[in-house]
Amino acid sequence: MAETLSVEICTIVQVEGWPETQAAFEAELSRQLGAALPAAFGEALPVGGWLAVRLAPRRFWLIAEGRSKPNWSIDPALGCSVSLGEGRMRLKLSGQHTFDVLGACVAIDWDSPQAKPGSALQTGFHHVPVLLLRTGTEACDIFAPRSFAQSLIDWLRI
Amino acid sequence: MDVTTGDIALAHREGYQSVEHLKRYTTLGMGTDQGKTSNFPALSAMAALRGATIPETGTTTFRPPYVPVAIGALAGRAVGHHFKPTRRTPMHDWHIANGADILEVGLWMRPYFYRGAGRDVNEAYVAEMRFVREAAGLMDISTLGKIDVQGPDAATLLDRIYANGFAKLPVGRARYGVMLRDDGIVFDDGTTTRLGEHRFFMTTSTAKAAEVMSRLEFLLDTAWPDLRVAVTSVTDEWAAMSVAGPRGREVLAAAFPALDVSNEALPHMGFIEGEFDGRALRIIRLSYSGERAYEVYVGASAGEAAWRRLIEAGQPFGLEPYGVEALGALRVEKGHVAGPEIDGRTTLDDLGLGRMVGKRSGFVGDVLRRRHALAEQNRQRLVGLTCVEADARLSGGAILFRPGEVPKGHGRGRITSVTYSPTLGAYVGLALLAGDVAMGDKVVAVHMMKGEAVRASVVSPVFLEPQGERLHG
Repeated sequence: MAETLSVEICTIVQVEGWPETQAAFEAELSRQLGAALPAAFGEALPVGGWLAVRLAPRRFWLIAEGRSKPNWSIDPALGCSVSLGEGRMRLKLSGQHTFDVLGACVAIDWDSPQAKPGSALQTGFHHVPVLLLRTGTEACDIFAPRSFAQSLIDWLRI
Repeated sequence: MDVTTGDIALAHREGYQSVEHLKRYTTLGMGTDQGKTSNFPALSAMAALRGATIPETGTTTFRPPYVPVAIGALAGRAVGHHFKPTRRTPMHDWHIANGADILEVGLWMRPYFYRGAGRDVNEAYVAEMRFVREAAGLMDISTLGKIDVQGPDAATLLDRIYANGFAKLPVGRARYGVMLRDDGIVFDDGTTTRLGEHRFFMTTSTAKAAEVMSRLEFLLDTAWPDLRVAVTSVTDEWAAMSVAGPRGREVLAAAFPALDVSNEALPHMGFIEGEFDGRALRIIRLSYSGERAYEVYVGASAGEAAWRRLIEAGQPFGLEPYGVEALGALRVEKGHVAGPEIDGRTTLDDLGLGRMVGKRSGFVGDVLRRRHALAEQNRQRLVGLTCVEADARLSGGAILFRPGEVPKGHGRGRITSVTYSPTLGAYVGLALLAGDVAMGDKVVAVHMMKGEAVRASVVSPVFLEPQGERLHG
């Protein structure tokens, strides 16, 4: 059992560029945020007060604590955005046994470079699609769909 | 592992020295680990036998997992609590606290019926139907699949994946749509609302939510990668509830006084949006029950608060919550198809939906739906059934025979859905019945397991208000 488990609301905005405008989309969003977006899949970087995670070649999540309003806008000719914060719960796990717990549920090698602190990984947590954000050597956040969250919390607290 | 170094030596002696031959000869590397773990010692052994290095000998194509993975991670989740995680709607706690009997629908926990309406499901669902037909009912429909469709080519995508057209759907309007599989069989149905010129809000059935989402992504990735469209599942983003019944509009007006829900501002298949408790609020006037009805969508974190608001505002108008059983019964009375009829074997024409498509072409499933076998006149098609004897009861799953036929085999069709209709004071059913059994004919519904044989008349599947008068105005 992990030493601590807390559940927090968060803001998630998904942004995505169109196939032929991806470069311009990223350049424009980076300009508005004042920093470059993650270049690699699974990379998570702080940009303009948000944590940017590259989820797919053309898709990013921009995550903020609590309720935040986007300080950027997307040109519909370049891409689009959709809010996802209402539909996700952020479960924060920490403690020396965090990865023992997760090791029983998700097929991720937590010793690999791809899972180092600061990395983001999409996987299935006993059939539930989740985003795992490794926040430290003994800490990890789970972004779980709201409808599944209580079920996961119940299991984690057993 | 049952392959030994002796087997590798044997493979070497017999000439299977290529790593690909070694793999096929011994089957090493074909198991769950896909080579990176178990095949490596074998490749090492073969390299030694050939007097070469491993790189010189070569490696097979490894596939994940690339590192040893705990058996618990692979199999542990498939037992006990892990086997079946549950999904709860934003209003789940309210349902439990207010006497809902919960029904597992896939992974979802849904209110089956409310104990306040009756002692058991049979008593309760009929009472809940009356609330909806005579006053107003409130139903948790958060389990519907919801998909955000955006982009300059969003309308083009919808025109291709729905059998009926969407490109000309005006902004602020909703439309019922049906999707086909590639083979022309009906896949799923739902509604899509045009929020803006390039943005749509699609709903799917609860059961097919994941499949529809997966299908859209597949088609965009493989068939139409040139389309500028983003599809995103927002099922969990929105709490959803249906306000249905003749007094539904009064309930909405009382619950959300800042919104104009008049017939002029929000006609049948219309859409308005606003805000509730700081969260986005969408109201779409759609009906599954045949009554004047509204689907209310609100940010999931405010779902229970919105539900409570509606319950409270609806009290003076007789609003009561209703569950899945009453929902299913209401749609049977109106002849609306659902999972029992969209069963992976039926076509648009079988279900009486062919006229929605007309002469359209170019959508998924269009080519193969024109196969001769799918147009045969004797195919089973959707009909309604009423009992010949007033006090008789139809049973779902009963097989249909012509009077006098020996009740053996598959018969002429089967009953797909049944309900007691409090409005008609009798049991009614939907059935898929061979085309050569005409309207007005009699059939015998035989339920082998129950030992029942009930005489029934073949009628229109729309038992109440075929013109849909209650939907409008």
